Amino acid sequence: MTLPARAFQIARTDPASTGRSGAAATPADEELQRRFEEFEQIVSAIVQGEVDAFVVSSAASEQVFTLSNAERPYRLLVENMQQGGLTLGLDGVIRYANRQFARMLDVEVADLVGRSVFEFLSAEGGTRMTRLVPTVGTERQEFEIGLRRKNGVLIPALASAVLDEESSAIFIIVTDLTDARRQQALIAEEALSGSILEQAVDAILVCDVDGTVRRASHTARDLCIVEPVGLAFSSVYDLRGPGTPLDFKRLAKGDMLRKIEHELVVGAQRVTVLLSAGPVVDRGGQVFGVLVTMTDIEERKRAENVLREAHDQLAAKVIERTAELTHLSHHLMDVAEEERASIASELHDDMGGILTVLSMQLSKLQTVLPQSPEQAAELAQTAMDLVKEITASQRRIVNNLRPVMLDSFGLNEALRQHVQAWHVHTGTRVDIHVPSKTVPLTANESLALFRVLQESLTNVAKHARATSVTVALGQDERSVTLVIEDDGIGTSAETLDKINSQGIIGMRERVSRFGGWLFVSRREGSKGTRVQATIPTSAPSDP
Amino acid sequence: MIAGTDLTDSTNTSGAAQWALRLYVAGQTPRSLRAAENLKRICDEHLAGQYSIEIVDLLVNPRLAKEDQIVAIPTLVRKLPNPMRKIIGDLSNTEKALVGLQLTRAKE
Repeated sequence: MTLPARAFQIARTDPASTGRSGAAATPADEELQRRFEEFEQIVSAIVQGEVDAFVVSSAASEQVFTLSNAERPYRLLVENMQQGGLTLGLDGVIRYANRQFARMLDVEVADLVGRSVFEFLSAEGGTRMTRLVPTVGTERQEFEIGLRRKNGVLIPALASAVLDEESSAIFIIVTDLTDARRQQALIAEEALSGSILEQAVDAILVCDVDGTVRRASHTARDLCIVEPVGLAFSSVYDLRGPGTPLDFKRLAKGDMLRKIEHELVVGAQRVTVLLSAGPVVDRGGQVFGVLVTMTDIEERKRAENVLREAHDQLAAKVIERTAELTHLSHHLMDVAEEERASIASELHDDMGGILTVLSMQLSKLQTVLPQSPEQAAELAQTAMDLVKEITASQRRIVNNLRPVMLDSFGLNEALRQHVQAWHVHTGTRVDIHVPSKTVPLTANESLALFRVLQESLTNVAKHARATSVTVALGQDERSVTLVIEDDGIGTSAETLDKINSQGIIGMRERVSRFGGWLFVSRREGSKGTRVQATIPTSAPSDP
Repeated sequence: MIAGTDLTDSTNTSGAAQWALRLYVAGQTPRSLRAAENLKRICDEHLAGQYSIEIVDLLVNPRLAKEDQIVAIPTLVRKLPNPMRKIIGDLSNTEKALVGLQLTRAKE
């Protein structure tokens, strides 16, 4: 391998060739010597295969030519990268495309070279590429395109383009965005489900098939005292009720729990929840866990209880009231019967007797009239007296049915008259205090208070064994009040229940018809009974 | 690829590398890669702590060939110490490389 080198050696060591035998070496000689040595090295290196590229210089530039394929590593890189790579002429004709780009389009590489890139772009992508060609520079430009596959389906892609002026070519790296878009959609979906989870009113938990909590909503965290994620569901949520502790393996296999009421122990509190649970499946239909939801119904339960209690109270009240009304109805019937009996008795005993005597007197008068005018005149006088008695009886009966005084002279005078008559009848002392002016009540309201007085005095006469009674009628800006007090034996609760209840209920009904109220009580600080009836005034009272 | 790559290992007390070497390569041709490997090995063995290597890729910038009148690639240029010397080839012959760098005498 030294043959070429020997030729240089000869030239270098032959003084005759320089024409300056024995003379000292000049700088030109030294340069020549150096160059020889360099050539010698170059040739030696070439022969021994130690160089694989040369620089060829011209006046304008230097160019490097390689003996071995220096682009091979780049080619391997481009051919094997995940992105598509292609080289375009400035007219958009594909000069080169890598395998990945061909794969994106589902065509062969050989089918791409020589064709226009626009054939494989969406209309929008083509427009962008058209705009790009005249403007692309040595600075990289990025834009999105739609790639049209052989079957016509468009796939989203990102193109990154750069111009090489020397070769008048555009180099483009194309990234398939399908997976990125899918990823974005998944992220958006995840964000949505995360948002739903956080805002849900119900407690929502996603557990794996072993029962470990993997995700928990905000509300789910409120229902426990530790961070649930990563812990076993049963260790975090102390549920008492059917099917607990939850069997996650069975739930994952398809068992479902639907809104079953459970008690959840949270620290020292107990919360009633509706529990639902069942398997969760992925897009492929594979079970990957169990979804547990708990609805806190404590408030609802509390409201239900309140409602139930109110309902029960109302029902009891209705029963009580119905009983009262039934008693009242019976009492009213009894009162009506008593009144009928009283009227019949009065008509029979009082007016009937008088009328019989009158009839006899008139018959006698008929007989004696022609014979004895004196006796006739006497008989006529007796008959006249009897008629007067009948008239008085009739007035008394009518007055009992409806106090005439009330209609003629008003409540104040009617009360006074009745109290006076009762005193005469019973002998019990009565003090009565009534205002000088007529109280502002309607006729029916006045009648209601009058009946209260009647009933109260009847009760006093029947049961109280009182020595004196005080009756007072008073009024203020809003109401008129009648008070009847006696100094009798007093009214026990038992008495109210047994004896006077119907009478009291009747009085109360009369005043309540006009929005009024009635109290029966023992007199404060002394014996006896106090009845107070108040009716709101419907008209403004007289100043 | 590695234009102007500077592989300096100067731990001498003066702080400056006593040996300034420049290796001209042509991208990633096998000989260029081998020359870079061999040079690093030789320097580590014989010039530890006192050299700097600049690698010039002529595929990236062919004009740089002019400065040192490079013809064949790879070529190693000893810029320092003076005088400037060139060793052409991939430096796989260590003895020849050491002689070229004047680190040892060539065997007669």
